[in-house]
Amino acid sequence: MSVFLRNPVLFVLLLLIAAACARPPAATPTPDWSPDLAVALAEREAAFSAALEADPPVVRLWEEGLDANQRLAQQVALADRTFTDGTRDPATRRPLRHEVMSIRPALPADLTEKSADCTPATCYHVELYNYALNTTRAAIVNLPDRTVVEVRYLPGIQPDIPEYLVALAIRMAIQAPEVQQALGLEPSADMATMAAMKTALNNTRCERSQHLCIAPTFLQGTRALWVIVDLTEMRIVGTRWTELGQSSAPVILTERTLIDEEVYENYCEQYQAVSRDGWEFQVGLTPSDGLELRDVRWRDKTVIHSVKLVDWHVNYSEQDNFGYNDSTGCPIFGPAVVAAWGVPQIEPLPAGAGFALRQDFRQDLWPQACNYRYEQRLDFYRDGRIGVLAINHGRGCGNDGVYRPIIRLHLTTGSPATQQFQEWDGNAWRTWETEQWQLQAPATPYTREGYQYRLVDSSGNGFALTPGTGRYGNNRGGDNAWSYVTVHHPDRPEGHADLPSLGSCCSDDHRQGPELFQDPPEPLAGQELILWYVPYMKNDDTPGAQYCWAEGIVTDGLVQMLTYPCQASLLLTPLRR
Amino acid sequence: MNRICFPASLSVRLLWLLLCATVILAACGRADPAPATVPPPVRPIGIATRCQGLPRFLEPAGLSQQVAIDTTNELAGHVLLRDMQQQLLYAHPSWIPFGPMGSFTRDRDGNIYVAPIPFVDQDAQSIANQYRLFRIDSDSSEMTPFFEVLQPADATANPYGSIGLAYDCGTDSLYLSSLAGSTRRDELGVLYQLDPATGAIRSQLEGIDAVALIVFNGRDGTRLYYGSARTPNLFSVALDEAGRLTGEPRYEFSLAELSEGNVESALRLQISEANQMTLKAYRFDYSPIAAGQLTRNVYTLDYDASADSWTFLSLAPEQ
Repeated sequence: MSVFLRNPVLFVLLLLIAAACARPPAATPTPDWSPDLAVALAEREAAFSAALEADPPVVRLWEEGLDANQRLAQQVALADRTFTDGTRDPATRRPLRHEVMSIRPALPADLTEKSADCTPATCYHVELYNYALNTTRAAIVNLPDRTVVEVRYLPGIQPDIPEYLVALAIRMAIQAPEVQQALGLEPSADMATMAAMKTALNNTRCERSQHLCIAPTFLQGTRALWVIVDLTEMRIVGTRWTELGQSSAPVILTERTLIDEEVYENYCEQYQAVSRDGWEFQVGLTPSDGLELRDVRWRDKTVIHSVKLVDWHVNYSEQDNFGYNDSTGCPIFGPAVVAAWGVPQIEPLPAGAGFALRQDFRQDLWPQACNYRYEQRLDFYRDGRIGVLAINHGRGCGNDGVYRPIIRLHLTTGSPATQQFQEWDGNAWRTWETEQWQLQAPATPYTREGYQYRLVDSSGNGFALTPGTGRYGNNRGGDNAWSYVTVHHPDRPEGHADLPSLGSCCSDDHRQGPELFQDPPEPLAGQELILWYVPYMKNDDTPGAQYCWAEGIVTDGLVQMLTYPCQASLLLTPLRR
Repeated sequence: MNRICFPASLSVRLLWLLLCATVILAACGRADPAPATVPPPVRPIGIATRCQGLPRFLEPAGLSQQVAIDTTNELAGHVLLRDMQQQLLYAHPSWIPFGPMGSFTRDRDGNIYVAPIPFVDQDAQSIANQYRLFRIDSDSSEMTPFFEVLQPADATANPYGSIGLAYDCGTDSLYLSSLAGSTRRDELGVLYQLDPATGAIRSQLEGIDAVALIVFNGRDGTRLYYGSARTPNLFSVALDEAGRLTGEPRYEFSLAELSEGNVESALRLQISEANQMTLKAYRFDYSPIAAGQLTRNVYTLDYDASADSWTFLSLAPEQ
């Protein structure tokens, strides 16, 4: 270290390198394809648009590349209503994206009792892929009879991918900046040599997106560069080097592996520094307490030591008290049930007011029943305010679900010796002398500015706290939140470290978990304080009034998720003399 | 060999030559042939669980002999017995506090062994339970902790401990896999061979994260087959005449490379009397499984004795 102190240039260089190596929340790059590739991709999209207007809505294999038997097999298969049943959404009859992927002589392994009379000379196997639902179906076509003798349904099975799609994927891989960078190639000069480079084609899966994917793999010495290409959206999912090694056990990389490893390496094994709009903090993912921000500073002053979301209490049927404690956190190697879905994202707030930090947590099968999607969000305003939001995107196990996120905030005025936690009683600020809890009720008084609580020191510095009151389109009727204040004890299992689970999922009263740390109630004076904020959200699946809900709709032949999020929020407004 | 033959007179030279030759021959001589290794006796090809007994508490508990062990954790957060004949569910009170269970097996006396599984709502007790193996007594039906693996200091990075179970009639051995302490970077799992009477460790193999286990008597001997927790691959390791885990793991096949296969791990292995393997697989990522999540794929494979390998037959979602 003394070397750098003696050499300021080196010191600055070190800081620059550290800043460059830091991985703040990501933005997704868009590649610039070559003109001919852009045209090929546009033609593919145009083919789907045209197919969606046709009956059946299927992109066919190009007949110029097919022999007479293949052309006939395709024609017979697509005229068969049993085979093409399912090419439209059963509820809305909207067309779903389909494509004929392969047409070949039927093999013995393709045949069952129904097609037992077939031979490779008389019967052909036609494979149809459903991009919207990631399913495959196959028809066995009897050519002499011009009939479909059998249709097989293969949910979750990826089809054989036609050569033209493979070629497109390889062209995309070659032109992707991240691939060129990984291979150390010049964008223009070395592209011509790519054909000479050993290329393999590996199977892969896009489990998260449920898309059709393929992995061109470029071999360099003892390593292989996997490039996962999403053929549903025609985009590069990601890249990763693997060692070829001596073991006979194959290595398979998938979309989920790439995403989870990026998340784990950059946000679970370390925290990332963010500096923007006067705000600085460290952000990372915990094993089961969601996204955590540490050492949040505004204009060089620490205002929050830690903020995180410890649990989501999910209660079905408030009479039967049945439910779960859902934990959110790292996607692998951890106790979180609802895992981080990608890395944290930063986006600007409207009118340049500041920026929002968002983290998505999902279960793979969302929005199917009993699958959940949550979101943590913090809004950082240029004027020093912070919005702490807990958002639920449904869907859950039923329409009688009550959600209570447990938010933990270690706030500070910077002067713990003199800071006080106070509530507005309608006329004046009343100090909480000991640990306690309180419910935000319809009769709860607020100041003219909407403040319910404040944390303030003897100099008047601190924060005023505004709970969600349902006024601004968030959380119908207000958060109805339980608020608890406890003394900060970093040496006790009270949330300073990761808490696997806290409290019961299904209490209707103040027993949401933080009250366990208030027995017996300790004096608050002169202490570092923890605020626990536990709002209430009730889901609703009533058409036109959905809340904490999600459903899939067919748009342009693909299923898009439409969510009706519910959110609870706590706004922190800085107080200063 | 250094030169040592240099004396002048003929007789002495001859003697030296003789000595040199002897030394050379001794130095270059072949080692005594190694004692022949006696391979363990090969059992008839087939399953290793024919001797598994039914619990003796069934009749006193009013249950028929057509029972199935239920660890789906859908109806209750603990292991159950389903009486298929009488359409009953049974759980001894001692089973309830230990929470959700996953793998199970039986020994020849009808004792049931169950390994825990981390589910939603982990608390301190359920975390501690992950490092235990439990035994349901064939006579009393009482569940008690039977064996314990070392609990890591930090369990937050991996909530799994004891996980996979198998039993071998031939050597009366219980096999347990543990993932305790494994992290993303370090594969620290252990395969144990246990004495089902005492819980004593007879042998172990370290550095393997295995989920599903099963013992099978193949063409060239008895092997413990296991599904890798980290990859979609199935491996096996040889068992000697005492059932000890020996040799290096052998790669068998990859689920991802099977026709229509997926990148997922084998969570449960069963082999029928007809030597057909049923493999239930799921994407395993060292995180707990929540209700509504466990939809497994079922792979069916046939044993090919001529190649001592497994031939893929079919794949379907679990019903």
